[in-house]
Amino acid sequence: MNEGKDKDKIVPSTPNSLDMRKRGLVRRGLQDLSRSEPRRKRILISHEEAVNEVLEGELRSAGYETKVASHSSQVLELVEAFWPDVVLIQLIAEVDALKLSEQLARGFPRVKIVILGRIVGAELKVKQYLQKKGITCSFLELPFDRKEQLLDVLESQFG
Amino acid sequence: MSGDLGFRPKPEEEELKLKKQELQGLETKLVELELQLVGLRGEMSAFERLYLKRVGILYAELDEIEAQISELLARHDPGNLKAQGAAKEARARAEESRSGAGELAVGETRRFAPPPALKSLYREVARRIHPDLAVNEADRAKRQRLMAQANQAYENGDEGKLRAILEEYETSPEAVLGEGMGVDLVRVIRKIAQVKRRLAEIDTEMQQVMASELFELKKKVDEGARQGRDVLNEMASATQSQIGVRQSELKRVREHGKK
Repeated sequence: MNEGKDKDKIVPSTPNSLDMRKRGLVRRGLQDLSRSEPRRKRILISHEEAVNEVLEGELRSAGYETKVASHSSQVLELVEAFWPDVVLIQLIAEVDALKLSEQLARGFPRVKIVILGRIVGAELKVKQYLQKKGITCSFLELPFDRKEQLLDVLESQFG
Repeated sequence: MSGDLGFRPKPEEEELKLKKQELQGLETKLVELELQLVGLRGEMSAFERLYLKRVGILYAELDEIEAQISELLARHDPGNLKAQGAAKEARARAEESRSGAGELAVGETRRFAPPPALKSLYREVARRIHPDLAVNEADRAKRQRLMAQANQAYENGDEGKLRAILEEYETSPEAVLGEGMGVDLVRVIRKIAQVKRRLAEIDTEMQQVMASELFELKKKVDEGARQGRDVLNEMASATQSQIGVRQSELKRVREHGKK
């Protein structure tokens, strides 16, 4: 306000003037609370932009935490940073998807893989190839009719 | 027509009129924001009391037991510097928690829910006595004192006190305004500047409150309530379980000298 008048100003007590002790108890409560909250499942989506926007919206509204990799080359880096529970790989070029699945299975065996495929008849081929390598994955054909199909596949990953 | 006859308002009159309109708009906004701020403060301090009474006090109890365990262990092993240090730390923490939770936890924990009539009265009081609408320094000092009392009365839901404050100001000499166009114009311009500064201050304070950990905690508690959960009760139960575990430990240490 006026210069030199601030010291005279009557300021009622506010939450910001909480002394450190009370603040410490509040912080402790918050920390305990976050520890007790179940972590939301995280989904990493790779990598077709138009589909990603729809998928991300659906997954978020279903309560998942999501991240999108703009290219398959970004997926491994994001897995390290985001620690997803599931990676959704969109099958555009078979080779890319297979290579990525192998890398994921090798480097991050905890992460579940769901392959979304647009290529007709690719499902069996992809599954057989990955099975041979000892990699398990789920498959969902794009475009799916109902978002529930996607959510069912995801929920089945968490037992 | 009258303008042609020389009755057109003088430029300073027009300017004064415009400035008064601007000030009126700002004053209304200021009163609303002061009301919001005092309401937010009231809510936060009621929540703080409730939290400390239901959860904070249990943290203090838990810390006290942990301090006693550490002190007993240290007593059993006087040569163990690590144990001595841990006991001192645990005692300091217990003291901090006790003083943080103790004083307020035994106080009243009513919810802050001012009725509409009290809000209207507060608006009226703020409109009349807000310090940033002062005409001189003496007036400002008086308004500051009364405004602080009004904020406190509002937080306490004390309608009688608010009315008394309004009456006190209305009958004071500072409530009488000066005169003269030039003086008025300067006064109005200064008031506009004061009100704008106060609006910025209110905004900053509200941002600070909303960025605080207490606000974050309250948000979680409120979210839980919307889902039918009593989050404070859950926190209290979890802490009580910890207290139970530590009490058993304390008993073991008392009996056997170790956990």
